[in-house]
Amino acid sequence: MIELAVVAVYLLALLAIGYWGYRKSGKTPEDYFVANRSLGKVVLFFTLAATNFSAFFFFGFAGAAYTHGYSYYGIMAFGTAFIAVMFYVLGRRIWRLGKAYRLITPSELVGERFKSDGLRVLFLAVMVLFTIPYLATQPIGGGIALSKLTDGLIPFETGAVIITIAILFYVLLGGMRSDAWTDVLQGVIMIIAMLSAFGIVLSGLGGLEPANQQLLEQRPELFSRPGASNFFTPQIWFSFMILWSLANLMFPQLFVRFYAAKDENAIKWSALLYPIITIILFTPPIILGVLGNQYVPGLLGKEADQILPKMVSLFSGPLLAAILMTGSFAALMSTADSQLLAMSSMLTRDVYARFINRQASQRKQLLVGRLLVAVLALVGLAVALTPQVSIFELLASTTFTGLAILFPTAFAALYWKKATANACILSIVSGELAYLAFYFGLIPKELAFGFLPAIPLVAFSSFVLIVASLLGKPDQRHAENFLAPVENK
Amino acid sequence: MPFGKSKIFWALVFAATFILALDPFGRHLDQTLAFGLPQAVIYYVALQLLLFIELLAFSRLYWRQA
Repeated sequence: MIELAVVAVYLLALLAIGYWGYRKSGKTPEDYFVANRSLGKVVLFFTLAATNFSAFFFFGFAGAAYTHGYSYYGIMAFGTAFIAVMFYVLGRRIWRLGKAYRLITPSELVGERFKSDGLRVLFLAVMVLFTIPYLATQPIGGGIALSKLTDGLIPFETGAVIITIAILFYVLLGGMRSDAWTDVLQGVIMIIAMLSAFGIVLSGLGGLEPANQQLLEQRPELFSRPGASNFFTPQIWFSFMILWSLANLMFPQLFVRFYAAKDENAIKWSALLYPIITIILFTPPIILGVLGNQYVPGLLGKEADQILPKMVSLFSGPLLAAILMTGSFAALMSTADSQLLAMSSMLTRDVYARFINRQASQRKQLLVGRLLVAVLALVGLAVALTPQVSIFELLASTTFTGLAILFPTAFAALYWKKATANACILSIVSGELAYLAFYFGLIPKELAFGFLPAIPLVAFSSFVLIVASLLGKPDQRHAENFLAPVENK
Repeated sequence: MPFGKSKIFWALVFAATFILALDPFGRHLDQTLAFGLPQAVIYYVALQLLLFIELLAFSRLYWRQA
């Protein structure tokens, strides 16, 4: 029962913070969706990190390290740390434009920059299409974790419902303010859970050196860069290193966080601390995952994702298992709540207030936003509880590549005055169609030259954007006026 | 520090760090341990710390606020 008590305390703390966020918040869409652009450096850093690190961070990392070996650390830890550079390249400009034009959604920025409703809707549609399946993976993870933690006392379905209701409560009440403040708590819990698990398991193993030395003698391939399954060729290595920088800020929940920053100082601090948090949070699951080969051998496929809880249960009691599971809830809930809010803001501002009710008052937009949060949460839950989810599994597995194709358009919107709306539309449509063709084998995989498809696809959609823009007629005066707030460095 | 004001300088610094992350010196071939960890892991931890220092210098020397 100690497990349930730990989880219950955690959920109650979230609800209390959610209520506090509600008491502090104003009654405008700007306050609800981007916390009135008031997030300081500590809150912004934690909310960026907690939002980025999903359920996959807790279970998938250790599972992949178990399968591939230590080489997984480089692509995940350094690849993710390098996103900090994008906080300057994209994040700073997003913040400045958001502040200047009171923007709230990613599609709003692209739509206003190119004066194109078509591009606005397309950008929104791609973001939502690839984010909803990813949203559904979070209640699935929560349901499984809660069920395992209670030895089936709470069934998977009930677990998924409990997690969804808790998220709904604080997001509906306090919007971005509650979301970001709960992210601080969730970020701290993730750090405590991961470091506690690491420390206790490591002391049970008798230290790093003997455990690694023994494994090195038995399974040297786990210490090589190609990895145990020879997966990491130089092309794949390069692809993963750059993929996170291209794709991560294209997730709407991360994009909108730059609007919510109080000032550039908050973005600077988040960028600075990002390489450090990736060292602190990514080393434990990778090390425990690789060492798991010695203590829990023979896990295949998705079974490998259970290596972290299995290692913890080998070397500790129920309290640590409960703390670790609470950490996993923190990871998945901090991602899901942000996804809900970001998608709701886009549908409210870029569909409802733009096309359905142009005269909608702020109060009405707020009401619709809250309603959409509830609807989207129920959609995510329904997908999670549906046994036949192959199409959503497919979309979830293609999320990063599907969103990376938006990168050339976002970059052009922020930097290139000669880019045109039609060129961006062509770039996105041709990129996504080419991805479909790649995925279903209509374009031979050899054309990727050994890279992940995302790399040639981003190169292709960038090429299309550049050529089509040069052939088109850009509205350079509008571009110059629109980008004026970002022109000084 | 005149270089600190140059956009090209900082682009080169971050590009060079990214290239180092591609492991051009083949650190992965060295499977010995250091501090109980494979040298490849130590290499990437060192690169992350280097990135932190670069970002610190960048934020002080180049990144001006609006």
